[in-house]
Amino acid sequence: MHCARPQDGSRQWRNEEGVHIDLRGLEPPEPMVTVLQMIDGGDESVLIAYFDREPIFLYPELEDRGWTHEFVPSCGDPDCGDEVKLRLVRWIR
Amino acid sequence: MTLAATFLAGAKSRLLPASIPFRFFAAAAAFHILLWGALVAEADQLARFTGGLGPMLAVVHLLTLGVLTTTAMGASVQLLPVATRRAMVAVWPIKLVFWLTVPGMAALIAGMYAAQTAVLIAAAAVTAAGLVLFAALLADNLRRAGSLPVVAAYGWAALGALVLLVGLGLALALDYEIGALPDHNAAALAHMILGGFGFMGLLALGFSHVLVPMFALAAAPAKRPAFAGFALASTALALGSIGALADSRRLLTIAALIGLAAIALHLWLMQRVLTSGMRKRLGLSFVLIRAAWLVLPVTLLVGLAALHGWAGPGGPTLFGLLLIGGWLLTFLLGVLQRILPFLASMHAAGTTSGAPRLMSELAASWPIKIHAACHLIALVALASAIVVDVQWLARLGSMVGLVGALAFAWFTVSVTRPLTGA
Repeated sequence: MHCARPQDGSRQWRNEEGVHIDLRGLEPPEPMVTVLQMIDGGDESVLIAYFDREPIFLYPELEDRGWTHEFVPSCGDPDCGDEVKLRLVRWIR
Repeated sequence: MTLAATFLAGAKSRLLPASIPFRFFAAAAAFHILLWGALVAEADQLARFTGGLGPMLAVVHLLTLGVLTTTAMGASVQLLPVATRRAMVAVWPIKLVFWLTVPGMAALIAGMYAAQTAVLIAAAAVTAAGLVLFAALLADNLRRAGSLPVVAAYGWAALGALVLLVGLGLALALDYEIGALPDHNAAALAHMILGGFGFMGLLALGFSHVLVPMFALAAAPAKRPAFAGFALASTALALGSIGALADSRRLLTIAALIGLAAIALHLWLMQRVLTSGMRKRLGLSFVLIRAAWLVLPVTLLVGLAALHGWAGPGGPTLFGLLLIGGWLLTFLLGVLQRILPFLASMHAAGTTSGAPRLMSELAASWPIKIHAACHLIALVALASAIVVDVQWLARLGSMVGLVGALAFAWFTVSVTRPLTGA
């Protein structure tokens, strides 16, 4: 499972897994705010998000919005570093 | 162990075991009760207290060391590694910090209360060792941090203030025995400025740049004005500390005016964060945080008035109450009210499978409502008692504060109870 951004450098892309959003390099709390804006403002049911750090304060917010999260194993690519990759799934519509 | 499990363990490694931060928070809750209990007993000494060994000095340190510093240590060791992406070097030094500082503080405060200088000096040495170790741990984490430059700048300045504060504290303790300081009161004022505006104040301002946007779900303040605010605050602190040591009213006045500019900029940045945030209903914690923000500039104005003799005989005492009780304690309790359930929900998730538990499951709301009401009423009563010099009002306010502290301890227990075994 590859975690690199598209060639054009955009932070958001879509493939067969769902919508991907790369939040690495952003300072807290921007990653959390970006994810919540996508959840609150979109129709997506699955998001794959890449973080520099474990977003511990995001989890209760996800739970309150009816979303759950699971860790996705790293791709093994050295570019991935010690990133945290989460698969976020809406369980309450 | 599967690949996923290995990864999960690595990702969670920056979150300390629940028992580490929560032991600091539990100790702070106990000191909080002792603080108000001692104030009930010694309320008649409050209104005109301006320093000196005895019960009121012990009360002051129950607040500054017992509640504020202990909470700051628990929050820092938990939040900073997550924010900086750098795990603490090991867990055992943090445990050692706890076992040096908390018993050390208890003995130090007992020594102050009973005016036993031998106990005071020995306990001050143990507490100082713990605080210096804490400063070293945080410095190591900040040194390895590559992000959050504003928080890191405030963190470094706060650590510098902590080292100076501890040094002056030790010197003040020794001075009771050997009388080496040229001006004990000047050193005590510098110690107070370095503690209230320096170590605790800068930590509060710095962490606000991450915590307030996180609570309001907003972007962090822009870097340039944030650094300008930091420059003003640290300049004010340096001038204030030097002014206190040199007994220079002019320097202290300049420091207070620069400090007011720093506060104005900080509050403007925080207001912009709240205005732009996705979350508009910020809850009870922000009643306390907003109250603390209101008190912060008033503290400096009262300090200026007291410095120039315009604040009456209770002016210096009122300044102290507003600084450590009105601003710092109110802000800290507001933040704690918000982050304790957050942290508990994360740790609770580690004890079960699946998603974290809802925050609402982890904390009953009535204790924090009682606490917030009692805390604010108690502060108003104490401030009024100081202004009009009425002892019964100080005692009544302290009793209300004690009820609030008990409610807050109940809240802390209700949050941490599900973590037993975590």
